Amino acid sequence: MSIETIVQTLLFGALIGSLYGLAALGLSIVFGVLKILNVAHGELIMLGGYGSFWAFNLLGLDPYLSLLIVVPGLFLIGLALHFGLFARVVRFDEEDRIKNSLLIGFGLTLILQTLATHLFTADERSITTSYSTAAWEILGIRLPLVRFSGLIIGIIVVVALRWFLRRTYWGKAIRATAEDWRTAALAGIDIRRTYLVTFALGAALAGLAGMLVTLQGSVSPNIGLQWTLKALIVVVLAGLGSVPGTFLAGVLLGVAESASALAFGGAYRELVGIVIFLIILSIRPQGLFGGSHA
Amino acid sequence: MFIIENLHVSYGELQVLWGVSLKVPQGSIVALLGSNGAGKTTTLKTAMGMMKPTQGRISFRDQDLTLIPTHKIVNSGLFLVPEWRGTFATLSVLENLELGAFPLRARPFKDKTLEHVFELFPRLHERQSQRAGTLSGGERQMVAIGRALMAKPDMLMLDEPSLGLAPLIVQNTFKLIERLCREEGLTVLVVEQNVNIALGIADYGYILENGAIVGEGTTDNLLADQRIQEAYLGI
Amino acid sequence: MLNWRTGAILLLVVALIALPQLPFGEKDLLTLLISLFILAALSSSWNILGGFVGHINLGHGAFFGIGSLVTRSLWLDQGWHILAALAVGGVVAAIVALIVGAPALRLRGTYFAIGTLALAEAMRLTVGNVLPRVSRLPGPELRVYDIEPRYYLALVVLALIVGVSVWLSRSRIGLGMMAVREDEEAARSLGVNVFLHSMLAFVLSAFFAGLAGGAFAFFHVGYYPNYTFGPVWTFDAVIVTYVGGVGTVAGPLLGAIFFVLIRDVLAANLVNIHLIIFGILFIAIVLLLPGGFVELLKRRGQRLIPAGASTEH
Ligand SMILES: Nc1ncnc2c1ncn2[C@@H]1O[C@H](COP(=O)(O)OP(=O)(O)OP(=O)(O)O)[C@@H](O)[C@H]1O
Ligand SMILES: [Mg+2]
Repeated sequence: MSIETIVQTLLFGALIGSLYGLAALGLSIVFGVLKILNVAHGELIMLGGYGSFWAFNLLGLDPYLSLLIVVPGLFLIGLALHFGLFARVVRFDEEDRIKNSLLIGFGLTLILQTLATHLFTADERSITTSYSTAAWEILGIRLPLVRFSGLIIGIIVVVALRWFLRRTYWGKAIRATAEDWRTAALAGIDIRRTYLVTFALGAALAGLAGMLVTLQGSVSPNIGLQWTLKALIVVVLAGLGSVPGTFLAGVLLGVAESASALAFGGAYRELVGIVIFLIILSIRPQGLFGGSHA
Repeated sequence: MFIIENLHVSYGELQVLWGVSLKVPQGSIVALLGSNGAGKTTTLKTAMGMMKPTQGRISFRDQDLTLIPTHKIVNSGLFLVPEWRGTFATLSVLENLELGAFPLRARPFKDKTLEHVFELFPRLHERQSQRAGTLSGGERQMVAIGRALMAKPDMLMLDEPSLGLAPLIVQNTFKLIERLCREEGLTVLVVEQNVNIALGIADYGYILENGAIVGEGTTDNLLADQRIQEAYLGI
Repeated sequence: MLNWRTGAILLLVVALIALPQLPFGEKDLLTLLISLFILAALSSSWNILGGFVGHINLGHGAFFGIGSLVTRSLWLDQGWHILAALAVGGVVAAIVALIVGAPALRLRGTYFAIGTLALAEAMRLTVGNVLPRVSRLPGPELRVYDIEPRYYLALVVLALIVGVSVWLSRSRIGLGMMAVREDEEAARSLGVNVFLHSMLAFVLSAFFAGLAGGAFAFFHVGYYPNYTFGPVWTFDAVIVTYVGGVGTVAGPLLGAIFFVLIRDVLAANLVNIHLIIFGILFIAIVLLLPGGFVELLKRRGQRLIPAGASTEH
């Protein structure tokens, strides 16, 4: 195996990993603030993917431009889902809250998947643009632009999100609510609105990730579970609370997958993340809670 | 004037308040006294909209607060420093204070009040970028009170501010509360088990036992009351 | 005591046993009933851990998969008798549960759920990687395929799991399990060994899921080995159980009947639309009627019985 192949494979891993990081950010912030686990997060990614696919095919919109529709669109869907469903479990105490949110997400998964199959068929869809195959080549290493853009967008999102959470009143309110919603309420923060906005923000991030997933690969109605699982693995790897940490954990997971594909063959790349996940869970059974977001 | 009328509150099946009534006139300090489990915290929590009463009414300056969500109550000028102090451990001291000014009524004055708070607590100025979780108990108390001031409240409620603090810090805290009331016109309702120190600054006091008010009076009357001396002052 | 309820149940059982011999007991009906039995058995097995003890296992499909894989290879590839193969399939699933259980049951609440989800995914991927897509095309077996033994096998598996559920719901052990579900700390203080009860439920649950998987392997002869490991089996079991009434013996049965009926009625015009209906129903039940259909029937029943009559037991 040449050194170029190794570097190339690991680089690809890191680039795919930045999508894992992006997928995990939305899940993590919702988990951290609302203390609910939305297992339909992957389906929101799927919806984002279809959004940009149809924007490209019907409106001829460039996928990057389609974010202007997809991200606000998913934000609105997030508002609706929270308002209609998840807000109803938020008033339960912590254990029932997670459990019921899990079940609701579960039902939602089923509904969204089946709906997508009906509306869009089960075919895999992808977006082919004029620049789809464009790549830089440095020292024999290929750097496909479309994939590279995922990393750049990921970094921009991390910086922006961190700024939002650290510097704005809303961001601080979100972090305070994540830490202790009772005290946050006593500080005059409208908890229900914070929850609503946070959930919608998580959905918007899923939409962004969905566009990149579709642009770099493809979208089909059943990709959701796989992405939810990836996001969960990253969240467990990173713990809750750090935006850059979560993104970095995603990149690391991508690299680890590629490394194991190099070592054991491509069939096992999916397995490594799950194994890491299970190991961490068994070491830290109460796992993830603690820490607000920044 | 802050008024609680005939308040009944239950935790599920368990009723803990049985018709509590009390008044806090503008610009005065009122103490709510009682032993463990009497229902003091429950009274304050209900006043802040964190629990729904089954019966009764709460009003502040003729505005009905019953069944209003907590953040709106805060915005109307009422602020509670809870039993658990309520500082955000993972946020810095400065961020904690800034969050105090979250209510819209307080935001325009943020920078000025912050200056004022730092004058009152120079210690916090030094430690402004430290995480609140790493502060000492006394410092955390300062953050809690500082945060309350940042909200520009008309009335401050404090739940056992003496809890777990050294006597000197307790004294300073109560002195500060008294000063804020006398000099800046803050209305105060303070819940305490440390009856001596609470009555030391209060104008009026209520005694809560098993969810009902069993005695009330001016500070002097309460201090002279035989029963109270026996039950709370250990004389 | 033989009241009308026991009578009705007995009648139903006799009818189910006699059905293949009756003139209208045709292949289509039997096929429908077999898939109903398997789904009901799988859901009931999920219910032992998820309903009685309250641990949400999102990787239940893995045990179904193990049961079907083992049964299939012993029966088809090794030529064992189906009953022996089935029993071993269930036992292997139970053993896997025993091994996995020790670390998995240390996980609390949601972590158990996502841990089992990941575990099942790992198993599915491994089986897909390690095993060739189809072990052997079962030509001879398909040529002599007879639906009747499949029907009876599925019925027996269902009867077994229902029997065990009934026993659990009335026994001390079952009571202990439900105590764990209501409040783990309180259960512990009452002297209930939380880990042991959870483990027992986990192993039983896996065993019966394995039997259901074995019955599926016998019924559905040709499929990819990792198909039965798919998350869809878990999904169906969870949803069916909740819609019917989680934590009750009758719940998974009612849910499965409803699920299969709706699927069959609607499949004619729109593929899979039953999943949307079930998804919505499921969410509605989680939010509004945590007891499911069973709860609904109970309320109905109480209203039908005139006041005063309900005092006699
Ligand atoms: N969340 C709760 N659930 C059930 N009962 C509660 C809850 N919180 C308080 N109680 C009960 O309500 C009663 C009053 O409690 P409360 O906290 O108001 O007392 P308190 O006067 O503040 O006591 P302390 O001086 O110990 O703080 C107590 O008997 C307590 O056990
Ligand atoms: Mg108290």
